Amino acid sequence: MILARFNAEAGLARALERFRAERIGPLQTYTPAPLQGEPATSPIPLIILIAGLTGATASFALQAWSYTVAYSFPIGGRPQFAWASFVPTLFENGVLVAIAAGFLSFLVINRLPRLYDPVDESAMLRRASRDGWFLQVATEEPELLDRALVLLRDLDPVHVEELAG
Amino acid sequence: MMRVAACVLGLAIATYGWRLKSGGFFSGWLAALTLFSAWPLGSMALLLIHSLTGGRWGEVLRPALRVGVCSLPLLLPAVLPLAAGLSPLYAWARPDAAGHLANAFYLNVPFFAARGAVYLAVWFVLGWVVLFGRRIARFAPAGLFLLAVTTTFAAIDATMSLDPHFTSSIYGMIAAAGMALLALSMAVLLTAGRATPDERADLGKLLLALVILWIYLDFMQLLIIWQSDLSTDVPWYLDRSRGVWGGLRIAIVIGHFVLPFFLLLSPRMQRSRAVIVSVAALLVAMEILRSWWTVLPALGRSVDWIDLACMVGLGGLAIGLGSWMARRPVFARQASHV
Repeated sequence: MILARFNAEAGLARALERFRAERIGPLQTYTPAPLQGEPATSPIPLIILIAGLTGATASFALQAWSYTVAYSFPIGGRPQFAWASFVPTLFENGVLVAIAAGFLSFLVINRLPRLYDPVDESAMLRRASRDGWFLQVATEEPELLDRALVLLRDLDPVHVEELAG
Repeated sequence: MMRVAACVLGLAIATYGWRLKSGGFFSGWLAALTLFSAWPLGSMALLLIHSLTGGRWGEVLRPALRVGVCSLPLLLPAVLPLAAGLSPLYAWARPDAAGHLANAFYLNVPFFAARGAVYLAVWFVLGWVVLFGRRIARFAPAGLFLLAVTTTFAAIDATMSLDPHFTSSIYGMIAAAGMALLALSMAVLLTAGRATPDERADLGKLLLALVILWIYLDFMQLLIIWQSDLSTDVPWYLDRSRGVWGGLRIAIVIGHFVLPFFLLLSPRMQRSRAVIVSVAALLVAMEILRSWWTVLPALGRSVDWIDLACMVGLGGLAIGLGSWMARRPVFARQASHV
C-alpha cells in the first residue's frame, strides 16, 4: 500500500478527486478534522432511525398487551389501555434500542474491534491527529501502485511511504 | 400597505365584535395577546441566550429577532381591553365566585394589576437593554432569570387562572418553550430567504430541539395530571377535549410535534429552504391554534370569526410596528455593533 501525506485539506481533496477519476483504489483517508464536501454515505443514521422506531413500537405493544390481555389488573378505576403512561417506557426503550443498534452497526460496518492494521506501521501517521492529511491507497496490485506513484508526483504530497501489507 | 390594511380590517372587525358580544371578544383578544406577547418575549430570550453562547444562528436571526423585540410597545395599548374584560374572563374577578376560592389572596384584581405592571416594567427594561445595550452578555444571566420568572408568573396569571382551581407547576415552562418556539419560527420566516444552506441546517436543528422540548413539557403535564387523577386538574383537559377542541388537540399533536419532528430529522431536509419555511409557518399556525385551545374552552366557547379577527388585527399591528420600529435610524444603528 501507499500512504501519502498532504499539508492542507485542499491538497488531499485534489488528490482524492484525481484518484477517483483514475479509478485507483480502494482509498482511505486519515485526517485531523472531517473532510468538507464529502458526501455522508454512512447507513448508520438510517439503521438508528429504524431500530429506534422498532424499539418504541415493540415497547408500546408489549405494554399494551400485558396491561390489557396478559395481566389485566384494574388500578384506581383507570382504563386498562393507559396509553399515556406507556409513553415514558416507550421513549426509553426506543432510545436504548437505537443506541445499541448504532453502536453495534458502527462496529460491524468498520469491522471493529481490529487490533492490528498494516497502516499502523507508519510512524508519520500519528500526524493525522494533528496536522497531516493522509491518503492511503490500500491495494497490493503492482500495476495500480505504479500508477498511483506517477499520479502522486503531480499532486505534490509532503511525504510518500510504501508499506507492505 | 397590505399589513396596515390587514390590521385595520382586523381591528375594525374585532371592535364590531366587541359591540356585538363582548364575552367572545375578550377571550379572543386574550388568546391573541398571549401569542403576540410571546413573540417579543421569546425574541428577547433568544437574543439574551445568543449573547452568552454565540453561534451562527444568532448572527443570522438577529435582525428578525430585533423586529420581534421592537413589537413590545404594542403590549401597552393591547392590555387595556383586558382591564374592561376582567370579570367576564376570570371567575376570581367576579365577587360572587371569588368568595369560595382558597387562593383569593393571590387571585384578586388589585394584586393582579400590580403584578401586571411589574411584568411590563421588567419587560420594557429588558427590551431596552437588548436593543441598546453595549455588552448584553453582562446582563444576560440576570436578564434571563428575570424573564423566566416574569413569563412564568404572567402565564399563570393570564391563562392558567382562567380556571382558578387548576394547578400545574410545569405550566410556565410550557409557555416559555412555546414562546421561544414562536419567536424562532417567526424569525426563521422573516430570515429564511437570506440564509445559506449551512445556516438553514443550524436553524433546522434548533427548531427540532425546541419542538422536542415543547412536546416533552406538554406531555409531562398531561401524564402527571392523568396519573394523579385529581378533580381540580382533570376538568382542564376535559374542557379541552370536547367537540371541536378534541379534534384540535389531535391536530396540534400532529402539527406541533409529529410533522415538524419527522420533517426536521434528516440533514438534507434541514438544509432545504422549502422545508424550513413550511415547518416554521406550520409551527406559527400551531401556536395560534394552541393559544385558542388554551383560552377559549375555559369560557365554554368554540372558535369563531371574532377570534380570527383579533388574531389578524393584533398580529398585523405587531408585525407592522416591529418592522417599522426596527427600521428607524436609532434602532438600526445599534443593530450593527451589538
